[in-house]
Amino acid sequence: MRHWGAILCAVWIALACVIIGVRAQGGRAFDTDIQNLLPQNALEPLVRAAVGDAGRMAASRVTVLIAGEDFARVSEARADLQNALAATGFFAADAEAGEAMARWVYANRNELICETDPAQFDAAAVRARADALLYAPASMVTGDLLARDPFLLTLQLAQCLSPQAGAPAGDALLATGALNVSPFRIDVQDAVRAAYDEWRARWPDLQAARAGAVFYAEAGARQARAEIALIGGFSSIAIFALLFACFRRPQAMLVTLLSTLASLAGSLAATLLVFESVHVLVFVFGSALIGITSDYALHYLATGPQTGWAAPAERVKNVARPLAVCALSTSLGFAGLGLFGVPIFQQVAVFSVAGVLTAWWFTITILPMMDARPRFAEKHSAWWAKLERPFVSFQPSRKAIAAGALIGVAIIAAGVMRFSVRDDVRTFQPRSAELSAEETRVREALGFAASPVFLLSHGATADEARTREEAALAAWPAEAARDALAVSRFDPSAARRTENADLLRTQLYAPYLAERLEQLGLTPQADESTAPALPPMLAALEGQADGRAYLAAPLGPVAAAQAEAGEGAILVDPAARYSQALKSFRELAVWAVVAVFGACAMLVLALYRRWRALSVLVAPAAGALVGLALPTALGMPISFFSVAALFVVMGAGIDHSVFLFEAAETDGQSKELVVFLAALTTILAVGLLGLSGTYPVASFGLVVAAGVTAAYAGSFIPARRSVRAHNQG
Amino acid sequence: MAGAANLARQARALLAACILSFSGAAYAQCADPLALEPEFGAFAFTQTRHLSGVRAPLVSRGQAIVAQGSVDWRVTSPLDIRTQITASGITQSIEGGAPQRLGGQGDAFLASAGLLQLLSGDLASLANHYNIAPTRGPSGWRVRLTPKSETAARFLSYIEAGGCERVAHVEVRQANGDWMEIALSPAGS
Repeated sequence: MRHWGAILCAVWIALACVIIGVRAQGGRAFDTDIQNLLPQNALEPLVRAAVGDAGRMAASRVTVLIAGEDFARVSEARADLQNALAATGFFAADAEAGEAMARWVYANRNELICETDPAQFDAAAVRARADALLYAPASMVTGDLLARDPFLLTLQLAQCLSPQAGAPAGDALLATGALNVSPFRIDVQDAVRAAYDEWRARWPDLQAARAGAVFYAEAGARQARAEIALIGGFSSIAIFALLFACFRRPQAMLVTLLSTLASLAGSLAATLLVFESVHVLVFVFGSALIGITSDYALHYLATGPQTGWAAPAERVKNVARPLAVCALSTSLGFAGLGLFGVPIFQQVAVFSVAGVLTAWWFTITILPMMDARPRFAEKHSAWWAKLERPFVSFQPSRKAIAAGALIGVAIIAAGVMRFSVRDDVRTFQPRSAELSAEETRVREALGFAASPVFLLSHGATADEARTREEAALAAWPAEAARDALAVSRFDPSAARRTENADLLRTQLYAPYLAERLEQLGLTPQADESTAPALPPMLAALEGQADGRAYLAAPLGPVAAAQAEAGEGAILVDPAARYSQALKSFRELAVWAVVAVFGACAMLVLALYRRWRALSVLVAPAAGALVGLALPTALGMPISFFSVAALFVVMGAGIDHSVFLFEAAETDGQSKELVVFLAALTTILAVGLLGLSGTYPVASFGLVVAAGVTAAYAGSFIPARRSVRAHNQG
Repeated sequence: MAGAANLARQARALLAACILSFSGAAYAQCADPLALEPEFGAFAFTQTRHLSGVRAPLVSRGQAIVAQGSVDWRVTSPLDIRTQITASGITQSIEGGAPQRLGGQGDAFLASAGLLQLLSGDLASLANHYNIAPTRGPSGWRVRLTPKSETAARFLSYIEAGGCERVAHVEVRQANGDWMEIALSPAGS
């Protein structure tokens, strides 16, 4: 029967490898968008869709400021950079977008006005601006344009409809454009970064400053990859060194490594099967599994020297029940992460549950066939017994227990006194200092600072959404209304189009056109242009969600400072909304921990059918309290991610308690040494997450490390209670 | 007759030589256009714009004040337009209205055209933006500036500045054939 289990497990692992290989081919299996750390179901569908649209548009922008002594070289370098970026297939320069916008404005000029409130339309101002364009220095008027557009409405509208950003002065030039795919795709980041680096190498004498999410995302992904290599690499080395010191057999290390690899293959394949792409930070969280899943192999391997390498079936029987309880309770804890509606935690939940179950399956089916009796079995048994002796003989005195409890209480008290929370997502991801400095230079050159806030207008139809956006902008001061990139300014509602056309006809063309043509001696020319499609830059700001149409208008700082937006329109600050959502999720997560704790209690009672089995929950409870308190006492605020880490603490804490409790209940082999090894490997693997530069990962790691340490100390209590109960019985 | 004809030829040659020597002397008195010291102060200007399809040239007059790092270009006739160009941007007010920041390609053109350097006579510094071709003429020098940037070349063929001791005349040729000339003279002269 176990052979069939081994065959099926091997088939699953082989299948997992195939799944990983196939999905990794496309380059879209992994993403690095920090937004995916955030709870998606915290926002109403309409706002979520608009946040996505506005975010995609803002994130797709790429700007490079190029400066140098020789303007000709600067100009050449800009053309070279735009060509190099376009050659990646992911980038289009703004010249194309600018021409599309110009064609749209020209084609619609007789239905658009500069004023957001038609009541403010001033035909005299239009005529004055038209004259100013004729007589001011170096304006771009041509005779052809004047013959088709005598009042030069196209040039006037180009000035007034969108937020004003300056052009860099002096010898600097901007290369600007947009990515046509997500900047959070690793293949896109790598291609853009390579094109940029090669371009820098070709123009070493020029100064360049970058702005754009793709550069930040690439830097973040590079940091995450470095952390994966550091955490995974160091913890693996430390764990294998520990194993070699204890087991003194390369075979033991090999099967532990295979168990860990099988677990990782199973976890990654399952995640890739369930999700379209896997966030790169899942691997950082998931590296904790190296410490947890290797425990299962340790527990089986320990039965070798303890039983003198008895028959595999007997060895499996020794660990089958505690392993099953551990795998179930740990899976339950990790599965709890999936309840929060946070995509990355749903991925971590699938990743971890699949990894835990694969490790368990591998340990009870394939591993027994691989761990054969060694040549000098007696020597190994003697060495293990020698190592185990101090652990078995260690009986903490009442004073030591009281001191331990006192230390725990002191840590909790210090944590309470220094209690603080952090929910602001803007403080989560460290920004590259180099890129921040470059972005500042770009902003200084442009004289414009974009705001993350946008105006969301919605209605039953696209026309109603436009009407509401128009009403919101009309209620704002002109300076604020001009500080918005609003679709309705370029493509108004049907009613506003009619109103604008009437105004232009009755107040401008009818009374003044003949006079102007006469004054300039112009012969008007027929308009041969055809109506173009809404430019992509504007079309991207319009959408449908939850059965309603919406418009998302990115705002500059003046517009973002407005307090009101009116009926059917709201000002949305995505970061503030996500922060508020994380706050409510943090509060909710505490109750979820209590609920999972209760579920584990019921599982333990159902399996052991005695009240004292509940003592196995002392360790996870102590781990949870100290895990939260110690980082807080050290000055690290509590966040949703700290509370989420408690699920791992509970899983590991129950593991340790269950093995010690089982050993005491059944008078089986001692588990003190192997539980110590298991705790140490978990702490080594997960504690290193605290070194991460990303706050959520660091807080997750520190809570797990502190919590598992406390849980290990507390895991001896159920065993002591059990032994005392036996003695009393 | 032949003697008279020879005499006439000699007279014409002598006259031509006199004219040449006179004009050569005039040019010799002109400063090197690429070595002019930047000159700040107030200038009166007359701008004449020739647009295809427009019956008569569009003429505007006013005063430009050129200072270190800024140009205040004020059209006073036929209407009041004040354009201020500084390193931080360009603003324009019409008929005494509130200044409006200019954006878009017009802004980029004004900034990259080097109007400040052109008006202050700092022609040499324009070499970054233009290919510079100076020529001599009977009454002074002319310097033709052809844009190096492809973007500018899409709407600007060349700018030609002329003068003797300072820039006195600017001609702007647009790519579509429209053109504009600006005559500059020290204010009050």
